[in-house]
Amino acid sequence: MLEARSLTKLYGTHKALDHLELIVKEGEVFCLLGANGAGKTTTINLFLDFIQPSSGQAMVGGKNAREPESKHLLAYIPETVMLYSSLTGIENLNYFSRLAIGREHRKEDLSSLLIRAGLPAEAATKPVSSYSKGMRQKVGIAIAMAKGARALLLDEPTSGLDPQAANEFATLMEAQRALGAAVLMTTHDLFLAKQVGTRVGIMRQGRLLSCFATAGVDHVELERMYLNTIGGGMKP
Amino acid sequence: MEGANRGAISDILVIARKEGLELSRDRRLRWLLACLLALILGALVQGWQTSEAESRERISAQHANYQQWLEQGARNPHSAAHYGVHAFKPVNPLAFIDPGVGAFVGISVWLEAHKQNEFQFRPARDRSSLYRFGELTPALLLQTLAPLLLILVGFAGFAAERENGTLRQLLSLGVSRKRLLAGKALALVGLLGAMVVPIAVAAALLSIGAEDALRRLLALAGAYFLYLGGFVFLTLGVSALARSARQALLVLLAFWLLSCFVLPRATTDLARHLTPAPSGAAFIQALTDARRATFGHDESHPAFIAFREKVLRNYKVSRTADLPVDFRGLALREDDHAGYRIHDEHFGRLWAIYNTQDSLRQIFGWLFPGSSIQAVSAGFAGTDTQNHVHFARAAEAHRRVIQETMSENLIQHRRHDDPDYSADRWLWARIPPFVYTPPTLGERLTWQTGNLGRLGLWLGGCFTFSLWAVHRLRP
Amino acid sequence: MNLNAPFLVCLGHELRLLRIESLSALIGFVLAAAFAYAAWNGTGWAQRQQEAVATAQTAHETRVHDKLAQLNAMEAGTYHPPSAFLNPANPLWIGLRHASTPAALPATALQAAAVGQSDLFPPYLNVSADTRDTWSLQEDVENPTNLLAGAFDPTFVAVVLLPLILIALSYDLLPSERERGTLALLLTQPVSLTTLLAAKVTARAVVVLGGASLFGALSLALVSSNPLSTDFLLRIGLWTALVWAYGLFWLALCATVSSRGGSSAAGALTLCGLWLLFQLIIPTLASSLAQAALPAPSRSAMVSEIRAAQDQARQRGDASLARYLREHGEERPDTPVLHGHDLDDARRRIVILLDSNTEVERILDEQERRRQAQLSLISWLRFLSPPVLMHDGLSEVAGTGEIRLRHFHAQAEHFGARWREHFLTRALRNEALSSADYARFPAFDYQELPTTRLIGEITLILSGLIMPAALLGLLARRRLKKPVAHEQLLFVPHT
Repeated sequence: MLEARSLTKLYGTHKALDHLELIVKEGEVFCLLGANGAGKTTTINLFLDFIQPSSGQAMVGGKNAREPESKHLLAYIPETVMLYSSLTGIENLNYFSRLAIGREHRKEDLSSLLIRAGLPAEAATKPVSSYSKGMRQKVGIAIAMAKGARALLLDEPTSGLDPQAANEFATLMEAQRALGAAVLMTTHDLFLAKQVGTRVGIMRQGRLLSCFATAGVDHVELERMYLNTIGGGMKP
Repeated sequence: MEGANRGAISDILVIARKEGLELSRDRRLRWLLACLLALILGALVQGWQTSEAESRERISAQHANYQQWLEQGARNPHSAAHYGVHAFKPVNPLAFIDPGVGAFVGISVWLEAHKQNEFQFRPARDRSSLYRFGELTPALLLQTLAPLLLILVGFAGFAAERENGTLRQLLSLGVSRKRLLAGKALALVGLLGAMVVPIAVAAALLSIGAEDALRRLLALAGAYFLYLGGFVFLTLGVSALARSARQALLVLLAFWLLSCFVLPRATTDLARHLTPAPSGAAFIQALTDARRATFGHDESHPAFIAFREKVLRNYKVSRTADLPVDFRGLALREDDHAGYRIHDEHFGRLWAIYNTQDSLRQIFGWLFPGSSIQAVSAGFAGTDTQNHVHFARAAEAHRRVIQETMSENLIQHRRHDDPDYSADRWLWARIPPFVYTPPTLGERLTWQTGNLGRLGLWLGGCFTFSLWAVHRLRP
Repeated sequence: MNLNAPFLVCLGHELRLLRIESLSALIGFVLAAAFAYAAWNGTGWAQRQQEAVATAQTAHETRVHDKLAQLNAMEAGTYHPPSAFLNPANPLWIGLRHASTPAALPATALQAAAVGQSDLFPPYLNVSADTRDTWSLQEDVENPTNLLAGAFDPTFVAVVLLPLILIALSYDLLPSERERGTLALLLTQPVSLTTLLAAKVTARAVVVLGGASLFGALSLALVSSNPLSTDFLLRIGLWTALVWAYGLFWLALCATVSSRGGSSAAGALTLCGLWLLFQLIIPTLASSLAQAALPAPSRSAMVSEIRAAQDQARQRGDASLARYLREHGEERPDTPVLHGHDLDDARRRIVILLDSNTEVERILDEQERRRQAQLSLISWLRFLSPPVLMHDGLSEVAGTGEIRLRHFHAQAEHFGARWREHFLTRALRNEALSSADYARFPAFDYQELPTTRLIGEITLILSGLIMPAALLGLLARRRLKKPVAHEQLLFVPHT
């Protein structure tokens, strides 16, 4: 579903992303790990067509991310989902989903989407300005569900969430994956990566240095591998 | 004590220097200032040339007019009074700094027999509607653009330091808020100086030689100091009080718009509604009605007959032909004197209404100083309505000299209603060329006391406000 | 129509945001208050002018009525005029003074919309048989400070305040979405930036321009004497078209600035700068430029020239009179009015007047030609500043613009020539006026400026507003279509 072909992004002479090769299949959660500035967010931004690649291609469902049609397949959940704070959760969801699919959901459908995303029923009709970070996140997921996104791009979705909210989020991701979505997620949270990720990639200085399935490793080993990779082989 | 003072001054200078450094790093600001300065110096020179040319035209027209008066040939002195002269309003040597109402008052008045005329030929009539958008002069720059520049440069003064967190740093170092305010104000004043000083110097150079021009320039500079000083402290005060730099900018821009664009017009209309002035037609009608009581040339008028009876009684004769003086001349003089009273009354009332309208406009000058500075600036430049009225009175006085001289000549020299009586150049030359003495600086100052007081109040208010605002300043 | 087309969805959303943030109500209130006050002022001014016309008209009728009464008394033998000046049958002084008549410019149905140039050019000229300079340059009596300040009329609201309201709502069309953080989420939907921006612009056009045209038309209809006449409907239609075209220009400018990326504060400063540029800098510069290139006529020189012409005509007086008598001396009217010295005096005065008037008219026409030269230069320069165009357009629509006033003056001058001809030829022939003649005095019949001329001028101005708006719109669209647009808008380079 998501594929990076020799994807490169230069800022002047600085290589933010260096010939990235990556495939995320349907039903797979790929976690990108790495220090700040390793190129994780750049990767997400390239799939979203927020920035344009210097060379190589970002493909979404076999289409180049530069083509507007690719947007039909994508959903994006950043660290803080920013919404129109004067509108309610339902109104926000209605607006974005209408733009996304070009038709209007019934009001009941919208509320049930929000409830499925884990938003308390009474919150849906309150202005977003009163929402916590976790609640905003849930509206973001509801938007993804409403448009039936086949690929989810998550940029550090759980940073700043309390443990319970992070856990709820992981459960929702798992459900999306089970429905066949391809998920590409950047995170600093190794536990989350182990918990929801099917595969993990570790990045450093714009390059994907290692890439492996999570099934065979435990937390301790993952942490060791991570520190080894980003520390350039230095022992802790 | 002395050490503390020195400490305060050095603190303030350090702060001002840092602000200045920041400003000088801003390339856009440098460009803006350079463009503005070039624009205004260009406008200054062009305005000066235009007003010099206009001045020369009027002086030469005045001269030509007097020659025509002298050369009018032999005729009855009363026809000469009807022929009259034109009084051209001299262009004030400082008009190029602030043209004031110059374009909206007539440039000359015809001084003829029997009536006091209105001024003719408002220059704005010959220009396009573009004129309604203002004239590019130092006054426009100082009244409108300079406060805007202060706002744009100063709105971030405290607000941005707070948003960047540098304010916490500063206050944690124990820098006093008042010194911070003084330093930032000093930097803004310096910026202002960079703009105003070249203009002031250029203006002073251009107006060298005109009598009290330099002293009036100083008075002008003082008034603008009050006006713009207020904006310096207002900007910094709002910046300290506002929640964000953006809010500070919005509040200040809204104030600027109100003070410079909206209120001057809105209050003008309000003043018109509150103290309506007569239209030209109504004014002339009222004058005509009042003049009905006087006889003019109508010898069947009861007032004329009564006057004739009185004169005959006084001289103890029974026929006007027996009078030792010319009766027509006496009647003219009598009629003129009645006319003077009527004209004084009507024009006095009209000008009083204008004065009230202008004062109404300036009532809130201490809060929105745009109207006050406009009045003071035009007042000192000699281009406001009061200066115009001063000239109109002088011209009318000259008209009366002509009337009196002509009638006196008839009274003394014409006999038996001689229809062919005429005077010549000798008599015409008895009328001196019209010379106008403009009001002194002292007079102009008294006219503007109220507005200067309001400007002082404005500066004081803004200063107090900024002190209060920095006192409340929270990092 | 697909109600779920992205454009309509975005439009609905923008309108909802404007409503929720109480902006629509606030704008509505501000516009309604401003237009109501402005219309009150505009109509106050229009009434004052019409009252002045009525005063002049009444004064004229009273004077004529009094003279007619005297004439009837004279014909009945009960009144003997004490002088030739007061003689009601003397066509000279009747034409020169007593019957001098106001040639008036009637108010349009939309007069309250703009003071325009009407505060410099009075609504009537007191036409007499005298030389043209004595009446064609008449000015109204008015506080010069008021003239300088200008009026708070509907035109001021539309030209100066309306763009400010538009800028206040639109300086951050796209930057606000970025600063709010919603731009990223929007860009992950299949909606183009152009659509988004177009919807935002349309929402503001609907709220602000809709409000302005509604409240503008409403308040003007309330103060108009005849809001159902075709004159009013035509003029208010043009007024509304101008408001929309002008508003679209400013919105297109905001859209272009927004499409450049940059912060909302930078956008606000840029737009304020542009407002000042168009509102103040360009008009004043253009005015100085035009004055330097084609100076307005010198009226002080004109005074001397006219005086010289009159002096010369006076010196030629005896010769002119002799020539007249040689050519027409044999004509004897059936009813002579003056005799002896009075007749000589009158004839001398008339031949001098006619002689000097030829020269006076030449001087005045030359002055007007020079004035027009500068005006025609400015009529091109004004295309550099939409506010000036708009001001001129609205003044013309209200009937207080240069074109209509010039049209009136030309007619009044023509009428003046007729009036002079009518009275002075009789006076030269020494023919007494009868009471029947009083009913046959020439009357001024103002022919309104042809509608096509008005529409032509407004079309020109409209195109001068819409073309730059369209160009700006295209520019914004091209910028947003560029591949780097997303990057520029989402990530502001740190300066």
